[in-house]
Amino acid sequence: MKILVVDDDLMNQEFLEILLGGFDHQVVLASDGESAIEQFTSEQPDLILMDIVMPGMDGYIAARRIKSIAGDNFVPIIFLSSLTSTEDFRKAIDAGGDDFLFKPYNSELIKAKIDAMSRIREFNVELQQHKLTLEKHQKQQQRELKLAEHIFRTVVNSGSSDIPGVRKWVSSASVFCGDLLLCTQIPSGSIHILLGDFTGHGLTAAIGALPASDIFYGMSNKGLSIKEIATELNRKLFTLLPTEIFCAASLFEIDIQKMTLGIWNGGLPNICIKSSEKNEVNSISSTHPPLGIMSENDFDSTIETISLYGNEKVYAYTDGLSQLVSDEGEKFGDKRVTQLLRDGNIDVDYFERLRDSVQDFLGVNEQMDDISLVEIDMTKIVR
Amino acid sequence: MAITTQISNDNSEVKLKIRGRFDFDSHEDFGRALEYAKNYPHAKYVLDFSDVTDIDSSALGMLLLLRDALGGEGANMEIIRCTPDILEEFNIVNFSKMFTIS
Repeated sequence: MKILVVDDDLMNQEFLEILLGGFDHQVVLASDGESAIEQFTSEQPDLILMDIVMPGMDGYIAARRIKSIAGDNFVPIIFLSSLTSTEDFRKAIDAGGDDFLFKPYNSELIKAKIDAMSRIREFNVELQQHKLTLEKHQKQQQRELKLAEHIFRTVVNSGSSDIPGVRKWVSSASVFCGDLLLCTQIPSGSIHILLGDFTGHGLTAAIGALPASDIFYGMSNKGLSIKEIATELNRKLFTLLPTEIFCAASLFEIDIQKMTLGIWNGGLPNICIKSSEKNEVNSISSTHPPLGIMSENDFDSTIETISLYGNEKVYAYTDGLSQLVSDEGEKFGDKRVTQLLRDGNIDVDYFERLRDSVQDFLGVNEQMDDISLVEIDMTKIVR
Repeated sequence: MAITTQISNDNSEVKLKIRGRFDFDSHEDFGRALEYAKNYPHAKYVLDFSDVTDIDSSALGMLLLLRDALGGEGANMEIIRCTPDILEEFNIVNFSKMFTIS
């Protein structure tokens, strides 16, 4: 080991140099705080024996500086002192010291303490190496995840088109999003929207989004109804996904010619419809289990159909929004959504209000689940 | 979160009492019940939910796994003593179509 001995007393320096040399350690010397820091930087010793009282910069200050330069690299500092009060001891530890040796020196004790510190240092070096390896892996994994997510998102959204009147907000809790919000216009002019929330979040939740978006866009392009799409989505997810993973979802079909809104809601929170007629908010609750749970034979594809006046605004969201918990442990809740939608007339930008309200509620807390919100503004769709 | 399991002497009835948040972190605890179900798929399972404060979709998934282990549609299992909040959660996902819930 390379040991830096810091002492203004040349007799002490020499004594320690000979003693430590006898234990096969390499010794470098310094006579005050400033030169200790210089030696530390240029020689990079494994351990430091540091006197406290020295002319110029004392041992406490030098120890503090050295520890701050060393950072995560653990270089033990053993203070050498004839001072023995507990206050001195406290000061030495606070300055970053790791142990104490009292004068006059006992050579066996010095050897033992250096051996003990050397063990801790080796352990620390190993720990640092593990930490570096782990960080490297983590960075690599993050890069790979981001790349995969990019490809994934491109595939999932490949059939997506912006439709005036449909606004989306999706906020992901991790790199991969387990929420799915797709919309497209089918050949007849009707609009199809799918809002889905796969069990959990992250990669395991996102994986089902690939077949789901494939089916949704493929079948919509062929002009098939959401009744047929829901049936196929359920069949496919039931076959593909393990039992414990499913997709709470709502499908919407806005038929501009017939002026109807068809809804299939399986496992998502209430869908809210605000109309300008009265200041009320109607709710369409979930009447089916989520997609991917029921076998083909037991699946119920019944659609709820609502007549439109063309002045409605429809809001749907995943439970990441309603289940959001504040600092005080309070839930955002469905009631808050309904209340917010009741407050004001149809011209209010509820989408923005809801989003702001959710972001305020979350504050600086970490988002635990994916959050999605969609607004369907009939005034902009039906002209 | 903790799950206590009570098995009748003749192995014909298993009572699970779940406490606190029933969520993703319950996987390990619930896994033991699941292992048991694989060995005794004909036993009657009673899940006492009176002390469950919260349930997430991962936990719902675990219930589906248990149901599967007990033979799917013919599973002899019952979820009892749910609080109104938990009943509402089951309502949203319409689990009454697959489980006996009270």
